[in-house]
Amino acid sequence: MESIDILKSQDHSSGRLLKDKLVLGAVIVLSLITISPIILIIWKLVVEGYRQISLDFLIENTPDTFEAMTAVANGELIPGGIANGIVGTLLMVILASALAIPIGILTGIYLYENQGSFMANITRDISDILQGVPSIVLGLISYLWIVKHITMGFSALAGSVSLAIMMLPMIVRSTEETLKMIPESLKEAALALGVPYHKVILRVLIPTGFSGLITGILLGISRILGETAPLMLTALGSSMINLDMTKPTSAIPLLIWEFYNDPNMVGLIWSSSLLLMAMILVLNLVSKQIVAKRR
Amino acid sequence: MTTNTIAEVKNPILSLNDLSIAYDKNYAVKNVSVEIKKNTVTAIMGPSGCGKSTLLRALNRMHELYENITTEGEALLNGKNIYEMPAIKLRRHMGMVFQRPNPFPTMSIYDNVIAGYKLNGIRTKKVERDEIVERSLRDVALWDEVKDSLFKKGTFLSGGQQQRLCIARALAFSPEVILMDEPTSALDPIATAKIEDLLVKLKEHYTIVLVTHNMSQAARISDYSLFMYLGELVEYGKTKNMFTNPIDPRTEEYLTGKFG
Amino acid sequence: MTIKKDDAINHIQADFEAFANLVLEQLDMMEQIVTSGEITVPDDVLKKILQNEKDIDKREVKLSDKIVNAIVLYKPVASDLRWIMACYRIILSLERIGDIVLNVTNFVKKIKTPEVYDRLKEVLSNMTIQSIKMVRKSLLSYLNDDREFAIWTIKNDVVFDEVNHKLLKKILAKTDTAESNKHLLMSIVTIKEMMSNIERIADHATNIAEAAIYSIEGKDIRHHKIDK
Repeated sequence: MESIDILKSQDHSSGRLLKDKLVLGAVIVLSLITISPIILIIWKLVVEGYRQISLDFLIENTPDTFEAMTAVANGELIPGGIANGIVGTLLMVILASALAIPIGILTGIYLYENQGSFMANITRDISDILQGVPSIVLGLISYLWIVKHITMGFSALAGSVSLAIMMLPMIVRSTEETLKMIPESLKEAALALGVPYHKVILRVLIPTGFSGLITGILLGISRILGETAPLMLTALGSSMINLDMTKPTSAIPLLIWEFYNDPNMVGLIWSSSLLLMAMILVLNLVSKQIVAKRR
Repeated sequence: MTTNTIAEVKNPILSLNDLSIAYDKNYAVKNVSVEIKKNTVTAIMGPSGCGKSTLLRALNRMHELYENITTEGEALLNGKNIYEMPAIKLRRHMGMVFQRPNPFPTMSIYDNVIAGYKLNGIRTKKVERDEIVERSLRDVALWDEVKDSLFKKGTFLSGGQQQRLCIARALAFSPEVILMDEPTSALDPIATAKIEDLLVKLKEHYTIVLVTHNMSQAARISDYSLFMYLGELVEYGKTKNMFTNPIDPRTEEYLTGKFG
Repeated sequence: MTIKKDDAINHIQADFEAFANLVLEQLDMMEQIVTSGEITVPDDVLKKILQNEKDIDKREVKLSDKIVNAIVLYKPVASDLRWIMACYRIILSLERIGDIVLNVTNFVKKIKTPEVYDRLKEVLSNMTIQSIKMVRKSLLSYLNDDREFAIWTIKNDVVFDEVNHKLLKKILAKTDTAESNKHLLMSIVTIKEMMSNIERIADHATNIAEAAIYSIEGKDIRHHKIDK
């Protein structure tokens, strides 16, 4: 069987198999390196923070520094919780969403409708630039607009505005991209049925692109959940739960910063961070579920 | 110079008089004049770029989606100028079916059929809606296949079934004319055959104008044929005559495969 | 799509021209025989005629086949379709012309009275030459899309029939025999004509049956012996 011998002698497959294995090995190692920080972080948070998590943690306000000092001295768990931070975060996220979602979606629709126009291109470019503006600068802007001129003082509103500006480019982008991905033929089908254009957008395109839009919104929210710098210049923080948007309010990331700076309350940073991470994780899972259900 | 080989049509359902359509001064359709007879299947054929799709879309004013479109001449539906009535109203009398089946993915089969009413916010009683859905689905021979899954999404249907669903959706308004833009070119031969049979049946109650690049399809199912070339209506007549004895040499060349 | 169609049509045209030339060859030989006035046909000529006849039959079946294939595969329309359908009709007529040549040749051999034949030689020659001219012109009209030739042929046929009928009567009138014999001859001729026509009905019935077999089995059994 001459031909088979020739094939065998030219068989480089063993060399190639080895190469394959080496590359596979390298890829695995690099992937592990990439995901290791997250694993390490979550591990550290869980280990240090799980003890602090309880119902009280979620319901009670932050303790003052003396209570904390006493507890640490006695080797006890620091009393109190971060309810003021949780409520503050929720309040500001809801407000920011209420501001950013309508504007973002409408802008996204505008960009979709006017693909080539000069105005639209400028708008898109500005939106992209906005995405890159440092969050503390956005905090400053909100400070100037709201703190100085509207609420005459630090407030939840100011915080929400800065967060809204951060969310905006993401929502605009995802709305436009989602709409662009919808086949033109759906628009045509609806128009051919005599549906007026605005209804085509509202009742056909938006529902069809729903999962894309929601994903954009949830991503925006998960981004602002952890923002600290702008809130320091706008919401300031508070030791109590505050539902008045014209007054300062706390937020979880703000509290983490406060805990970090107070030697007595340092122990609370782990549980707070853990809670924050948990919220972000849940948000991501929910958005994935929505996308999956819509299929 | 159009060669028109049929006698005057009495009470044509569609009448085009010197219709011209230009994009940015480039004429895609030039001076088309033709009368379409009621309850017939009329095929519009011609090589790519001859203006047949533009002409079709001008009939339900979908061409107005594009910017810088100028329309000259007139088109009459049962004697009324379609450019002088609201486009939305016109489209209830002229349904359209597209090349790729496009049922609305977020709606069930039932809702898809009734979509024209729903999306327009037209109030209908449930009894009326049920009746419209059943009638339309029966008209396209889809009722028996889907009557037990009316509330499932339409996307699990085969391509041919989806296209029939789209036709049912167009029929829900009981339009006078159904415009079809290459309705079977994305379908397999069996689905195509089913839809061709359907069209021949539908012409009993509707008038069908269909654009096709498939000459054999035009030969198989149309009563009248329009041949367009470079935006002009070159010849119009009974299909069987045009296919055996075309008069204009350009028609002859197209049919014998010399171009297009 | 159209390259294959055009090729098919060109092949059919080439085969058709060869076929037509073969038939014209037969006609030329028939012209030779008739104009010579002899009642004996030279052996080599007879052999050639028989050979050609077999060839003609074979080619006719092949050509018909090619035409059917072209129609089913390429769905010709407009002028392509008309050309191919005309080709089919013409082939049938040409084949029948070939049969006639054979028949005429056989008839010549059966003539018992060479003197009578000699006297009618001129008439027969003229008829032959004229009819062959008609075939040539009509074929050219088809191959060259020449309307004039076609019209000439059709007009000529009417004249042809009339002239020949009158000629036959004249010849009989000149024959040196009793009046009653002349009537007898005329009647025999007329009855012979009737018989030939009736025989042609049977022939056509056979053609219909052969077409039915083609429809049922897809086999063209013309010119074949039927075993079943």
